[in-house]
Amino acid sequence: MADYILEVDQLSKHYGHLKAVNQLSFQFEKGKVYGILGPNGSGKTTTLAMLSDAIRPTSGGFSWFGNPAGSNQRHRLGIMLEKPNFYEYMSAIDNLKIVADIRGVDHSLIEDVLKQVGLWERGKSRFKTFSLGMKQRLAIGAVLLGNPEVLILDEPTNGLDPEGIAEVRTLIKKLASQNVTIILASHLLDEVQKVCTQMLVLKKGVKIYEGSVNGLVKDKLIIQVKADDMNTLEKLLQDNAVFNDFSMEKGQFEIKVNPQITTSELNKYLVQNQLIVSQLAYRLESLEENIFELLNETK
Amino acid sequence: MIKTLLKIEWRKVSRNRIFWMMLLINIIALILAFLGMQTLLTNANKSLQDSGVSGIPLLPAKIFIFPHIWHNITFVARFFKVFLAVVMIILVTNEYSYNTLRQNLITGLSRIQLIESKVIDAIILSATITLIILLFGLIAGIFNSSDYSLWDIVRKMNYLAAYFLMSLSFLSFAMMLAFIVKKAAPTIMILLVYSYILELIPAFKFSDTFGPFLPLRSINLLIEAPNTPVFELLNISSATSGIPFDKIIVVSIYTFIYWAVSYVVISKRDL
Repeated sequence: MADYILEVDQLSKHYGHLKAVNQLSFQFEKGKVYGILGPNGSGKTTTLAMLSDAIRPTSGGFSWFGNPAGSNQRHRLGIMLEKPNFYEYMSAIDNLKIVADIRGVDHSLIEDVLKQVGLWERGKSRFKTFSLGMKQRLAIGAVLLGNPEVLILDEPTNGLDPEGIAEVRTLIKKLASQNVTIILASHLLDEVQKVCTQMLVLKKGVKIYEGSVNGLVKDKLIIQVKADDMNTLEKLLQDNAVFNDFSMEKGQFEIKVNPQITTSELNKYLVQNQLIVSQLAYRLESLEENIFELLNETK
Repeated sequence: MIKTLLKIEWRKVSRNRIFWMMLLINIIALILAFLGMQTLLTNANKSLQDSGVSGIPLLPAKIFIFPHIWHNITFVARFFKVFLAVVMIILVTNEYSYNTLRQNLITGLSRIQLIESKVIDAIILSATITLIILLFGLIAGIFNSSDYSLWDIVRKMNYLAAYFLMSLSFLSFAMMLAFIVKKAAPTIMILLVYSYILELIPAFKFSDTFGPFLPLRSINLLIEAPNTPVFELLNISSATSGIPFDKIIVVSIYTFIYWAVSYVVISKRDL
């Protein structure tokens, strides 16, 4: 039996007619890095807020570490939801002292986490003087206080500059290597792909994919083709069952084919029909396109 | 855990300049009101004498005399509890505007601890203002009384306890409103309209039946006007027999209800 740290059962949150999260069920295992991916408004934050007890589910439930639903397990979690929330008139250090007191952690750990997120120099500055990126980094520092077993990060790189984004991703990978379970919500596929091994894709509050990030990459090949006479090319592609799954992208046709089909086969077919190709290339279908397809399929 | 909550609340208010400013204004206003009341009475008595009214004095000449000082100054302070309620409201609505109610919850506090933190604030604020009244009473009493025993000093100190309960109950009421309404300005509006308009109508209309048991009316009846001839003339109800026991019970029950309602609201609501 797998060692589940989180089991979610038929979790739903409805706001009137709007089903923000609908009948969501999944299990997360210890020590893995999960990505929750979905466009804005797909229910990512609502789901995480329910798992944090901040939002009451309409129906369904969940359990952390095998404990009964409703028991307070938040001291074992490090949760960051949406925008960073701190007392504006207080310094970063004082804000973290409150966090440390709530979590029952020694104040001496504050220096360490502030150094980890690069804010130690500004520790005595008031929160309201911070830039968005610094606020975000302080929020990440706050969830690290008290060595949580599970980190829940909602759009953690929001508002960070490229350097900050890289730092946060490195930090997440480092924590993952220390057997911390990480649940990261993002609307950026790139982020999920770079950081996570497991993925949950949400659309309009419904789960549309659950599994490994790599599992979503079906081995499909894309042939990019261009000719002087694009009209004839389009007609020829339509007439051939092997090549008729195509679309127009940036002035060239992108044809989705099975991996065993080669570019030379296409070239041969077109030449036979007296069409000269001006450009011919191929690439593997990206994860992004698969997600995009998945999101479109489930209309 | 109560100790931890106390520590956290202290950290929050100790760095909050607006809180200290408001508390200081409260204390200064209260002391000025005490001193002003004495001056007012001295002047009123003088003009009554000048206009040739003789016989029984309508107003007391000195209000800072042991043991009556405790009743007199807590009665004056009764009219200032609404200012402290504004401080209480700000403490609660701050947590909404900074979104720290949600933050502290997901950091690890339970919903009941969120309420407990603010009840602690209400207790500390009430205790502080009661202590200020005690200190003022001791100093003013010693300077103005002549020939008093130790028993005279402590005899009517139960009015301080009544004031503490009065303040705690009123602040708890304000706290409940703030938890429900979330925003400072409308909460203050509702508190003012309810206490100075809405409740007064049934409180006096049904003064023979349930009127005296309405939430804020029962709070005020804890400390009634000191028994002076002028209040009798003006038909203002005044204290004839100390602090009414039934009001102590009623106010305590109300206070508990305010806490419970706050908890129910927070436990049902998404934060």
